[in-house]
Amino acid sequence: MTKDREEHQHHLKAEGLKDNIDNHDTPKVLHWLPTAFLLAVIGIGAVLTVMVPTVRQWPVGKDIVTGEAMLDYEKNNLDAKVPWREASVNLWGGLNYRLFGEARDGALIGKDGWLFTTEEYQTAKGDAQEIAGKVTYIKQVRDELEKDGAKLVVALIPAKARVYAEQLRVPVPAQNANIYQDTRQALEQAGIATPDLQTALRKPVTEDRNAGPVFLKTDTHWTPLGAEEAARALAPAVQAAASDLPPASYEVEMKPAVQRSGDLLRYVPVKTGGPAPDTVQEPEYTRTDESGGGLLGDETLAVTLVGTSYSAETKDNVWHFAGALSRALGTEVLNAAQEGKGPIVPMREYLTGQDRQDNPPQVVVWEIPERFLRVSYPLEELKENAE
Amino acid sequence: MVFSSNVFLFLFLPLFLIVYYLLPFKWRSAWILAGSYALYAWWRVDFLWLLVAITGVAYLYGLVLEKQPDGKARMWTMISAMVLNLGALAYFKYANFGVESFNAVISSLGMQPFAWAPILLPIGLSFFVFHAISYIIDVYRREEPATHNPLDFAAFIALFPHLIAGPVLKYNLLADQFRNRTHTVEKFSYGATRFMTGFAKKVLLADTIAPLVSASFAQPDPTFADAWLGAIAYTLQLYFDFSGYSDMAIGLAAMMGFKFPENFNHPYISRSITEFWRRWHMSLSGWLQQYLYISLGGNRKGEARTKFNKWLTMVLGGLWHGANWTFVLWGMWHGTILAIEAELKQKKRPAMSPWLTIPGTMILVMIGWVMFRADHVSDAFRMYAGMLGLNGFALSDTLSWQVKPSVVLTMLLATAIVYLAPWWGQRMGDVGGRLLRPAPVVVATIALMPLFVLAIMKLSAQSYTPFLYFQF
Repeated sequence: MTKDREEHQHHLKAEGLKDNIDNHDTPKVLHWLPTAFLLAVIGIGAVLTVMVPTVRQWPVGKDIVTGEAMLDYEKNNLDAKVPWREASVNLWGGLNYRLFGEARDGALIGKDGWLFTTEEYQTAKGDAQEIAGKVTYIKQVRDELEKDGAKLVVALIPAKARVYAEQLRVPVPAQNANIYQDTRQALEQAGIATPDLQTALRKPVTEDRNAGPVFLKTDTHWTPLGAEEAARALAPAVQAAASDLPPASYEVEMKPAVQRSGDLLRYVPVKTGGPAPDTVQEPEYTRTDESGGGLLGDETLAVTLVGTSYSAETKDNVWHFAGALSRALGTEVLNAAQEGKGPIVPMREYLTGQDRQDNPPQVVVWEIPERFLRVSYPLEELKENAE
Repeated sequence: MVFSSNVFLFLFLPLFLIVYYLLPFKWRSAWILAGSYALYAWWRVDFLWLLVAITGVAYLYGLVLEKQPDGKARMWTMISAMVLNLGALAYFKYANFGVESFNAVISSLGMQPFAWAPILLPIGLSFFVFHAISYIIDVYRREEPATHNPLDFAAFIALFPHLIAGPVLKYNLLADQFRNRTHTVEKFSYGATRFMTGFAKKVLLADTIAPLVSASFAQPDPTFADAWLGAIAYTLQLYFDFSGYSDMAIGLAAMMGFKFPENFNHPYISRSITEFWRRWHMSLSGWLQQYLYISLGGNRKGEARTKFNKWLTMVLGGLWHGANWTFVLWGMWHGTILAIEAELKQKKRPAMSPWLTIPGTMILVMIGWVMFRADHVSDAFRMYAGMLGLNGFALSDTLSWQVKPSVVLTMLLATAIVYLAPWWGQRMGDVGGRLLRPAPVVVATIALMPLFVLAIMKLSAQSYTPFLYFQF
């Protein structure tokens, strides 16, 4: 043994540490079992991994020298595709849910199977500033629309955690308490009509037990009833802002009730025993009178709706806010909403887009969910357009 | 490449081990070198040259220093070696920062979040530079002969179990093992057990606690409960992450027939900060003692100078962790306490009850960890204000929604493990290598196996981050 090894052994003994790598007192089973087990696990894992086709592909167009390609490979070709990925997510999701009533990061579980997005709980020191910036931006949009004689009505959608506060297990931070009403008032004071949707949506929750929910339990979005209540609350403001709404009549047909798993169930990855999916009756809004303009159908729609997935007609949409709004107003609404981009980008794109040129509106309804007020978006572009 | 990853466990390791055990002994150093360089390059190919360069330079300096006669010239040779190595260390830590964190460059000297994940690959630089320095100084002091085996030397520096996060090793501790080591199933089993233990510690305990640490340290005005919860959580996270990583390193080394020294010895039962540094990251404190403390004069220049040497060693040891004032202050904190403890020892103060000294030491350690973890010194002081109750006492509502029952339970479990482990070790025969009570050890080892599988699955589950399609 070299001098260092001797010193090392002495040090170990002095500190009372074991050095039992070659310890023959170790029980026989421990001589071979850990080896067998570890080799079995990494052996089987290796075979299963290599059998996955993406594991044998290398990402294209990513830099190897800086490690970008390797990161990409690990994340997308390997980690996302290992055969036990789904089982792992379900196992741990199930454990956390069943033992602790926890969902994955991104959602919180309320009472009685209600799910809430953590976006409505997030806070940061710069929130007040960010929200003030949004108000300023909304005023700029109002001014921009004014150039063509269009009026702006803001449909500020209250947070689900606000409307269903009684279903929360953990309170939303106090600093979020007044965001809705404060923002509403700031906009109203600036002369921008912002009907009180919080009051409108709370009514069925607090007063009429039989009305049904205004938000979906397992989704971030509202129910057809919620969309309808909001539409009715917005109608007076839109009609007051418009000069002359071309009439249209609508009928509603309620489709049979179906089960619908909301977007928040993604955060509770259990196959059975999780929160129950929603039961929804999807409305189908159909225009019953002839569209103005006869055969050519070149009627100019007086109201344009811009917003997020709460308004955009996507395949997952069962609430049909655009239809509800059309029916409540008695005029057809042009839907320029887009999903997956927040509330700012669809408006930015609308202002410079074809829809605005082809169909100059009298009123633009801008649907903005409360939780996006504190999110930072690049807002510079509008200032350029404003010049 | 991180040990707790699919790519390491299921692609790198099986391939490495298969070829390793198929090769005859004389080719194994070369294979270790190839595998280790591949592992390093997996992080970034463009930094591999630095590893090669540090290795080559150290090897050459060894040869030169061996030949040179004692005298001024030889001293300057050694100094130039230190300048190169420490210069590389300093330069690359700064360069990385400029690129990575704009804020860090503005507000401090810039750093990488060592505290967050001590296994982050950039830290490899700190380790292999230290390995190179220890070799050069040993040769300079004529305590060890220079090696004429560049392959073994390069393989030692690059040896992947310790390349990324230590333990910090002296070349000569391993030199004879490169020439001569046994490969037995018993050794491999020992290594497998250590590896699986470390893996479980990191993934099941440390990684579970990590999000709460982040949330707590992000509180703008932490209350007493916020700050202490965060400090305790970090104290646990750091220990299980780092000691878990060391377990994996020791285990992997054993699977290749190498015996690595221990890096942790139940640090949280220390009765003083002096004792703490004999139990925490032992390989680093050993290195600092041998190469920094002794080079500064050690205890050979009188009482006052001894205390100063200890203090300075701790400050520089802090700085080694990252170029941020937080690490410097952390080092100063420990250095100052060490000096005070040395003073008290001289005055022969009576020993206090462990019921006081163990919690007392833990509080001092936790105060230090808050500084260590904070992104900036100002953030640490925000936490300290909280810890003193200056922002109120109850848990903030901005933090409480992020405190998950599963995490709290994990923290309780982790604390129990921290304080039961030394007792377990003693009962099961920690001392001198004799296993006194085999049956519980067998049961524990068998219980470890499903935990390892669970940890592998948790790794997969952790990497799955669903996002709301409509979120922005």
